[in-house]
Amino acid sequence: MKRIYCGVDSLINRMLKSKADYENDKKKLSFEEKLKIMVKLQEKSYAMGATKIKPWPIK
Amino acid sequence: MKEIIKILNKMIKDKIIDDFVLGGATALLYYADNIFQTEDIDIFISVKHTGLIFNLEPIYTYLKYNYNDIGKYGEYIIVKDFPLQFLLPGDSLHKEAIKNFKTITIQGEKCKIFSFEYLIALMIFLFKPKYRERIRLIIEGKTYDEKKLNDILKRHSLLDKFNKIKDKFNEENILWS
Repeated sequence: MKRIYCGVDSLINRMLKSKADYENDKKKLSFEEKLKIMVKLQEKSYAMGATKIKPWPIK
Repeated sequence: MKEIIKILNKMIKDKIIDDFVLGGATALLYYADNIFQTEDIDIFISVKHTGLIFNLEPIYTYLKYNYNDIGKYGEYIIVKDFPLQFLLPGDSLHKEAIKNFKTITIQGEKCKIFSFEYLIALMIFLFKPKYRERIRLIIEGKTYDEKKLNDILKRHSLLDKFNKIKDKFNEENILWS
């Protein structure tokens, strides 16, 4: 059966590459950058009403 | 964050506490590749006190007297909008962990945090539901010193518990793959 190429392989490759990039980028983050991301998560939880504790004042 | 470290260092100078080491997810954030969410800063303090019960009221009174923006919320003391949880190392593992720290710089301020292997050992020891996923991600990350961790776990009779946890994770991985 002839295989119909519909760009799925390249899409998967792109996804895998971006996943690898993401893993590498994550490793490069400094402690301060990680803190800032965590504060973003806290802001989200606070906005959703999941917690009554205010996000840390780190900008 | 810098302000908090400054305040804690001032507390040592003023002899309110003898020393402090940061633990919990804040310390974990330094070592792990993943970002773990937390709402408080766990501060393990060492103080000279006699008796079984230690009262945190002098710490609160000191902070209230010296700084603005001090409040209380449940078990936390809110200092400049940061919820701080002051903890005393009660068991032998926590007591050992507080002596095995790493000095880091947070926004230009030096402070002590638990070593990575002790943080993992403490999570295995307490094994709260939220620690399960954290331990799984840390095992996958393989950035810790396995020999050092096994040594700590062996000394505190936690190695079997850790192996069981690892087995459970392996079973789940087989199921999902």
